[in-house]
Amino acid sequence: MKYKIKNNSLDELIELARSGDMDALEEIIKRQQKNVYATLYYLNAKPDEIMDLTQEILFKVAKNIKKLKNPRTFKSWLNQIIINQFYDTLRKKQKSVKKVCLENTEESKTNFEIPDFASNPYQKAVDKELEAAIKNSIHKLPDPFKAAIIMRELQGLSYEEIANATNSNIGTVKSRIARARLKLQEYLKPYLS
Amino acid sequence: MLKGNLTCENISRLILPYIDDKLTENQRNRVAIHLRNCPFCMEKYRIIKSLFDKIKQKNIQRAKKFQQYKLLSAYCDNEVSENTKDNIEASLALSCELTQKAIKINNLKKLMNYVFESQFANIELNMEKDIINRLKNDNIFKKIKTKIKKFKLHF
Ligand SMILES: [Zn+2]
Repeated sequence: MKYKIKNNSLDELIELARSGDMDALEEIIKRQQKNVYATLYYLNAKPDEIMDLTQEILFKVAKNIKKLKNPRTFKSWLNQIIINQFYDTLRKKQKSVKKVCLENTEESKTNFEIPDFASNPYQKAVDKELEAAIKNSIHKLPDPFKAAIIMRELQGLSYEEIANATNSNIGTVKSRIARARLKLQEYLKPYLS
Repeated sequence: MLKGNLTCENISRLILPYIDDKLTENQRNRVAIHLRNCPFCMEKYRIIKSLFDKIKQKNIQRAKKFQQYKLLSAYCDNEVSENTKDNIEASLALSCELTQKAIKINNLKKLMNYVFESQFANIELNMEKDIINRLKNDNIFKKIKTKIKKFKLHF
């Protein structure tokens, strides 16, 4: 890969990728993959599906980057793809629940390889209990609150970007984030004093 | 439609919509006349009205509190206008309670950011090569498809 690509800003990379630069596109994916993965993790994607979902989302990004008109809207656009793909999969799964029940053989219980947090040596330093508490608290939030607070705190999106990603207005985003925080403060009280 | 004078029984049905201002002008006047002339219903009205006012007051306070929290939460995200920011900072300087609230929001932010950062810091996904290859294959496949189409058109 060309050395200069690594020093480019995301905006510059998007411009390059839109004009067909594959190295730039590769760098974008490289930089964004963890974001996508982490977001799905907190949206409560199933551990055995999270890698596939991340793949699908990143592929959609790669395939459609030329359609993105303004690099500034990349984050909103990416999150729109994440949310749509996540809830689409969820809906399809709900529809096929009956089928799955009938086909629930041993074969279908294949184990996929996913990164295991526990086997990571650096992870020992982090309070496992706290991590679980945050995950559980976020999962308890209603979907719109969940998505808004994840985009804000995990990905650092602005309110405007969140509004665009979720097809709502800034006032609604403000409310959702505040409501999410009120709930999280309640759930996480033992860790916040 | 109610005709003639309202009975006490009518009133017990109309008291809530009367307090809630859900009656027509005509109905409202007739309830008022009855209340003026019936101490029994008047007493009932007073009790319900005071309860109603208390609930309303509480709801207003709760809504105000949430508005304030919402503003503070946006302030902690640096998502308020310069003007609002100045106002909030002036209020923070004057109110310990408000400052406590802001500190709590910031603590929550810090806690979440700390966990998010440490949790995913050492995960390696390395999906980029696969994605690019898949895209290239996809593109080649598309080109072949269009070539086949052209080929078919020629013959
Ligand atoms: Zn009466």
